[in-house]
Amino acid sequence: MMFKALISSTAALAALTAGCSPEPPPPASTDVEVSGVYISEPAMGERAAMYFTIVNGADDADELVGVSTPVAEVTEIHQTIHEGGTVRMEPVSSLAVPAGGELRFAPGGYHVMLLELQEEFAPGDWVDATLHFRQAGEVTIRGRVLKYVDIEKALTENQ
Amino acid sequence: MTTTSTVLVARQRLIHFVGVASSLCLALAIACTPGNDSASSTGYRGRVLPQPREKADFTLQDTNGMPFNFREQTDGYVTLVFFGYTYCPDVCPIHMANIGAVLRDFPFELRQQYKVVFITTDPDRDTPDRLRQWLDNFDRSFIGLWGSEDEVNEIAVSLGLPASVKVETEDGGYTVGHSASVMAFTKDNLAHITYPFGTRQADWAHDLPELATESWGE
Repeated sequence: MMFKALISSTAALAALTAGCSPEPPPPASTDVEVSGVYISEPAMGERAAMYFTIVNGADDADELVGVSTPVAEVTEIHQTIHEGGTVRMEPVSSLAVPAGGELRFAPGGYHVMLLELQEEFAPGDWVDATLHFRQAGEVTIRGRVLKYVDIEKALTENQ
Repeated sequence: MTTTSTVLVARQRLIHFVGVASSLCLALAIACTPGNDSASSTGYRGRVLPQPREKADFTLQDTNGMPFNFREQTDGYVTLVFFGYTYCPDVCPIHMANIGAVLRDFPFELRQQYKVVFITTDPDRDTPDRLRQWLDNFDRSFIGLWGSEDEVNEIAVSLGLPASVKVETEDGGYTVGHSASVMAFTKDNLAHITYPFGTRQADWAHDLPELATESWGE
């Protein structure tokens, strides 16, 4: 547990350092584009879910291997499994984005779980995050925090 | 979502061969047009059950620590029942938020005809206090019920819903699988319709007033 905690705090520190760096960010990849970013309000102030759509314009498949954000010490990519009339979430270690394909995170499908929140945020706020791809490297994103009642609108807009 | 394992297999193939976008859109398209196959004849946007289900007679603890007899205390109300948990990332809070928002817009007299009951499938982490705090995000009148895992599963099964499943995760925690649908009982104390995940506020706003006056041809 201690080992794990150390790793996650190091990762968080790295993310924080990156977020505060005076250096310009590395040039963004033109191959992978991320849009339609939004974050659910943290209902109990403990955890929130992040959604976005990834478009891979490259000729090669890519893979989303992780997500970091200064607002959460731990992030996990989850898939919602629908099985026999039930739903449950399951962590996945990485997700493939096929060449010329799209990967859409949405309620009831994939989401990034933001755990051990380090900063308070509320509907209307903006949250920064970095997506880590095996090929395209880092892609920085920014998304609006939405109330749960407004998430269905975001779904429609991003369809 | 009944043939979900097949859907999942098909979905994984799609991810590999076609791309995730199309498969997710497919999944969402199903989720977002609830019941358009079965409800068309009734005009309801929820999924009409082939056989109505009787309101189960059970007692669980409410968020004040008081016994709550479901059948007696929801008698004569349009009653929406959902099994979920407060650590649920999106399916549970979005259902609750959508229902809360629609009920809030109803005139007072109409609003009084509904009860919303949320039964936790995670009794270890969802204390009655936590349940209350979570439900208050959506509507302070929502009823939160708490009982042992076995009690709650027995109730779910008696309503024709799948029992919840606890799945251990690698980090030593666990996640809870639960039914994705809200079950709607009308004033005849029978559930005729369920609402899958993906039901929109417009769908609730359309169906709920009709459910309040529905007599099912009696």
